[in-house]
Amino acid sequence: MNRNKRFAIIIILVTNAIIISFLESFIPVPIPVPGIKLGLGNIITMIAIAFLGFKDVLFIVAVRCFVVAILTRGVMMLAFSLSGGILSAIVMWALYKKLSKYFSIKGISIAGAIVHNITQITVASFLLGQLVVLYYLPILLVSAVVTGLITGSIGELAINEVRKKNIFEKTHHQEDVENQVCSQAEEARAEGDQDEGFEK
Amino acid sequence: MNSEGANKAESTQIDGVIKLILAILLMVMPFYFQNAFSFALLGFYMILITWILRVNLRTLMLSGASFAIIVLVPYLFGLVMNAIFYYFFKNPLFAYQGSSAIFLRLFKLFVIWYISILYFHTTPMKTFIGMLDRFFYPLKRLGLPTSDYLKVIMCIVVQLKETGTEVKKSLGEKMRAVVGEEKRKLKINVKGISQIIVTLIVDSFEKIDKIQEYVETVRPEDLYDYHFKFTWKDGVAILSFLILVALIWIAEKGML
Repeated sequence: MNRNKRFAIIIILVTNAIIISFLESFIPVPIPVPGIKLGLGNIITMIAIAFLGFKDVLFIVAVRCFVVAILTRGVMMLAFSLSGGILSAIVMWALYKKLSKYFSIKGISIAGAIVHNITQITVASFLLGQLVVLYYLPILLVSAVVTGLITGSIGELAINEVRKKNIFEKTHHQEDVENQVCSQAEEARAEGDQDEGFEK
Repeated sequence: MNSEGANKAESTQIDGVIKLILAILLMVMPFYFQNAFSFALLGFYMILITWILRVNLRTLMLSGASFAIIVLVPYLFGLVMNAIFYYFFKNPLFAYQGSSAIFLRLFKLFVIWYISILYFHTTPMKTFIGMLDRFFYPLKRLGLPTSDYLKVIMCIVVQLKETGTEVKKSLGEKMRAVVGEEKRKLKINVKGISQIIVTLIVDSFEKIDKIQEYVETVRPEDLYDYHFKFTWKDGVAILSFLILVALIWIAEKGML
């Protein structure tokens, strides 16, 4: 894929992830527990896992965390969101690419949510130097199953729709067509040069 | 680092690097404090700079809420659970392990969070990314495309500024229509929400050529830039910091 096209896709996905995160405030969370969010931005990570390469997925997660931390939450929150985001993306990518026979998108999303919450609480425990923080883990794990299931359900529908609409295939196809046109033009130019040469 | 913050930053005009160095020093300082009075002095200084920089209180409260939810709530919950277990089992393992050291640690973490919020809300994004570009210069020399990645970050910020508010507003309306005033079953919402999200993604990909063209044509200098500039305001900032350090030094020596 053309580097600039890749960047354009990344820009669109990260922008959407940030906008989607704002939509969370409109959705009632089934478990009203402090610290529990639906994590709708994760849908974009799932879409990226389904259609893009591993490096791009990590880049999208890292840039999303960086931009959100700088624009709204500050450096402290970057430690939480980046560690949780990157680890959950790695786990979800591995499950989707290697074990998709055994895991549905919903299952992968639940696994991602669990890893995200475990990582965040571990970072909090490390920063505070207190193990008592880990008492909160069972609550986070139960809520991760619920929120992961909801996000996974939306993500599954979104991935299917994106696949149906051929968005990523279209961009690849458009590029193939562009490449084909360019190569044809080059060939024509080369032939023209040859003809000129013969004429000379 | 929102537009409001950027405008305020332009009015304060403290150099980005000087401010960063002062911010890092302020974040590190409390880890060396021995005297409780030093914490009070630092707290007063933070309130003072918040007032001078005129940071929006609502922004601070929102960021504070996320800090409290992630750090404080699990900690307090853990303390309560420990107390309950100790009450029932009388096991010394569950005895209260909290001490003033933990609260001081909480305060130190709070200082890091608060100073970073103050810094990012008073420094324009283009200045900060420009500083990062200078900082990554050795990596750039080694052939790493750091400028490209920083350009992508700035393009995201530009995109958010250009379309974010409008899209957020229209999506909010659609979301309200799907979720409704009455809380319907979540199953219905999931379909409705996914439709909104898919529409957003599909619509945004229609602009891919435009965004690609923008990425190709825009120069890094148009998106971010940093030049060191020392003004009297930087002098005042450094002087106020030195006064704080002197007062803390006096407090630490027990002379205050």
